[in-house]
Amino acid sequence: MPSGTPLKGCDATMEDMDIVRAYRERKHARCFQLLYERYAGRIYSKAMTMLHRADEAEDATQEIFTRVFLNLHKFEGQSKFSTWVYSITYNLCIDKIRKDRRNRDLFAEEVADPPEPVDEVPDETLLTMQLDELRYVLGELSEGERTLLLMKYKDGVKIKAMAHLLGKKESAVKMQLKRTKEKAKRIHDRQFARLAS
Amino acid sequence: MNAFLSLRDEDLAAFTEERSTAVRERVEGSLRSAEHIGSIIELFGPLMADTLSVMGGGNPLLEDEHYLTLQEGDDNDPYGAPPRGPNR
Repeated sequence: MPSGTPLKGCDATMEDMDIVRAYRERKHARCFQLLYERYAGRIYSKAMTMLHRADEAEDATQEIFTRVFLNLHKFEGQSKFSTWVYSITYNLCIDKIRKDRRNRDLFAEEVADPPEPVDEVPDETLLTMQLDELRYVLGELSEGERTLLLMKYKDGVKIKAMAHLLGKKESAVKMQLKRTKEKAKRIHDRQFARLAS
Repeated sequence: MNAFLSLRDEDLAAFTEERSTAVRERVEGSLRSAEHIGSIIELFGPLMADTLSVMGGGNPLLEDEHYLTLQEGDDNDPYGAPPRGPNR
C-alpha cells in the first residue's frame, strides 16, 4: 500500500472492475492510487452533501475509503463499482447523522403541519439560480432540507435510491422534495426579487 | 453549468487542493494497521480459540506437538551443577 512503490500493475485506461481485481491479486500501490484518484473527491463531495462541514466530510472520506478497501474482497461486480462505493458513502454518512441525532426532518415520514397545496416548482427555478443566490437559499434551509436538495440536484441521486437510503416511501420523499423546492423558491424570491425591483 | 454542479466542482477542487494528500496518507496508515492486525489474528487466532475451548472444558482441536519429558530427554540432571566455566 505505501505510496512511493513503483507504479505498475494497473494503468489509468483500465475499468474500475479490472483495477479492483488487480488490486485484490497483487495489492499494487498503483491500483490503490488510481481508485483513490477516481473516487476520493467524489466521495468527499457527497459527504459534504450529507454532513455540510468540511472537517467531518474529510474524516468521513477517510473512513469510507478505508472501509471500501477492507471490504474489496466482498465486491463481486454485481453492481457498478461506483454504485457500491456511493452506497457505502451515503450509508456511513446517514449512520453518522442518526448517531448525532441531527437532521431529524430528513428522516421524518410525515410533516406535522403540511402547507397549503401548491403547484410543483419546476426544476428550472432552482437550476437557473446564480451560485451566490443558491448559497443564500441553502443557508436559509434546515440541514435536512439542504441535504435533500443537494442529493437530488448536486449528486443526482434518484428518488427511489433516496427513499431506500433514508428508509422512507418514495411518495414521502417526493412530497418532502416538493415542499423544500417551494420553500427554496419563496426564500429566493423574497430576497432576490426584492433586490431586483 | 448550473449552480448545483458548480458547488460540486468547488467541493472537488477544495478536496484536491487541500485535503487529498492528508486523507490518502491516513487511509494508507489505517490499511497498514488493519493488515498487521489481520496477520496477527491469522497467526495466533486458531491457537487462542483452541486455548479458550480447552479452558471451557472442550477437547483441543489442534494436535499438540510431541515434546520429550525430562525423563525421556538426554539431560538427566537438569538442575544439577552449572557448567564449570573456562579453565584457569
